[in-house]
Amino acid sequence: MGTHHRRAGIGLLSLASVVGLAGSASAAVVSVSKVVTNTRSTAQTFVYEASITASENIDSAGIFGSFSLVVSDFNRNGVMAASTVAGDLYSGWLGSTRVKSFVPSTSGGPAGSFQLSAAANQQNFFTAAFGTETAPEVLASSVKIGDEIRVRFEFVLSAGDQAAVSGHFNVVDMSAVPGPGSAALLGLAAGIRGRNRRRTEND
Amino acid sequence: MHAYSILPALTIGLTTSALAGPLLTVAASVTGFATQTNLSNGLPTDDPGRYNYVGGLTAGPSRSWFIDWDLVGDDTGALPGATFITNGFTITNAGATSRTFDIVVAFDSPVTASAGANQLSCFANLSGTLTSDRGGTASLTSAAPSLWQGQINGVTKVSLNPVVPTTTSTTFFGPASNTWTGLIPNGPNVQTVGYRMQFTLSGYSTVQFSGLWSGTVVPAPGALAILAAATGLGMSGRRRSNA
Repeated sequence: MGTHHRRAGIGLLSLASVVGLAGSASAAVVSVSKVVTNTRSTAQTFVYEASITASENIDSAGIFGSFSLVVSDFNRNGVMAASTVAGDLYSGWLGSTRVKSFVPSTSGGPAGSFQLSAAANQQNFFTAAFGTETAPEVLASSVKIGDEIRVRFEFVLSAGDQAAVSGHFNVVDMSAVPGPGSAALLGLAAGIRGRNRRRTEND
Repeated sequence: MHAYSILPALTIGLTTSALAGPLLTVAASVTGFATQTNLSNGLPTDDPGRYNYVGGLTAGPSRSWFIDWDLVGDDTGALPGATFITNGFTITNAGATSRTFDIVVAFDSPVTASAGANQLSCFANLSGTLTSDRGGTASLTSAAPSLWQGQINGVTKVSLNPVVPTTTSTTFFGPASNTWTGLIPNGPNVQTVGYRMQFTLSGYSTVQFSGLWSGTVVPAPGALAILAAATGLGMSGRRRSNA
């Protein structure tokens, strides 16, 4: 595994969808799934992007997402995948603004960097997420119709080995996400309804 | 992502070229669709004896599913008597309902078994990622007899069934080491190393597989005993000559 690397190219992926459901918290989902084998004799940098164009205005945006990686050694000398520049492993963009730089914490690498390795003939995997659909990270940003929503993965992979990378970037309309108080009231109402129903069925 | 439309031309051009790798056959059956088969010869990699195979199959105009691969096959050039084919499949179910996939991979790698060396020592591993493409819930369930079956000359010798959680996005990991050693089925030589994957994938979901399936010819125990006996007799004869 050498430390020298060069940019192998950018793959623009099409796995993106605008959900755009009225009354739904999810406004847009962009996902990337890609298996790549480094067939060169030196470590290479791989960049994958997916994007969509916003079909609705979002005055108050929230985000959540995920990142998964599997590495496999094929040439009996171990495998390593790592971030190139700290913060570039996973980035989410609204228009030309990077709104999320997700650096999952791993052991073995410098602070702010990501590194996943495995021994000869072995595999290793990593998965992490930020935010959730019901508790997204709130941004001080808005989305206009026509804005590009984009997710980008960038990593360096050791020579002769393979990486399978996948993940999401979800953008939600915070006005459609029930707040904690609303969620509690909804839960209470559901509980009361359920109890009344059981009582009616038992009578 | 689906760059296979230009590959047939490349493949045809390389078939008769000295650069062409061994033949790789990928056959796929998907619920509601006729079986499709793709034949290709790989491109050489920086590692001598290893070839890269990139290609794909799709549902056609409906674009309701995609099967893409990025594999490496070893033709024994790097290590005599040893061969492997990797797993690097990305399968997307772009429709709303679950579909069952049956994918068979066969890599033509003639491993010649010398006299007495009719056993094969195999190694397999399998990992992957499962992602819901619309942020919902994705599921992957194995179809009988198992999710992944390692095959030698078309005969299954190792089966793997990793546990795959049902969630929005996850990784799964089979046992780290799976080995098998035995007589080469349909021998004496190895004509193909390959694997079969059978599973049901939920709608709007993508699964990726990563892994290795390798085989190395080893002498049979009987042959080892004969070899040891012959060596012993040779040394004894030499000592006697020196006396």
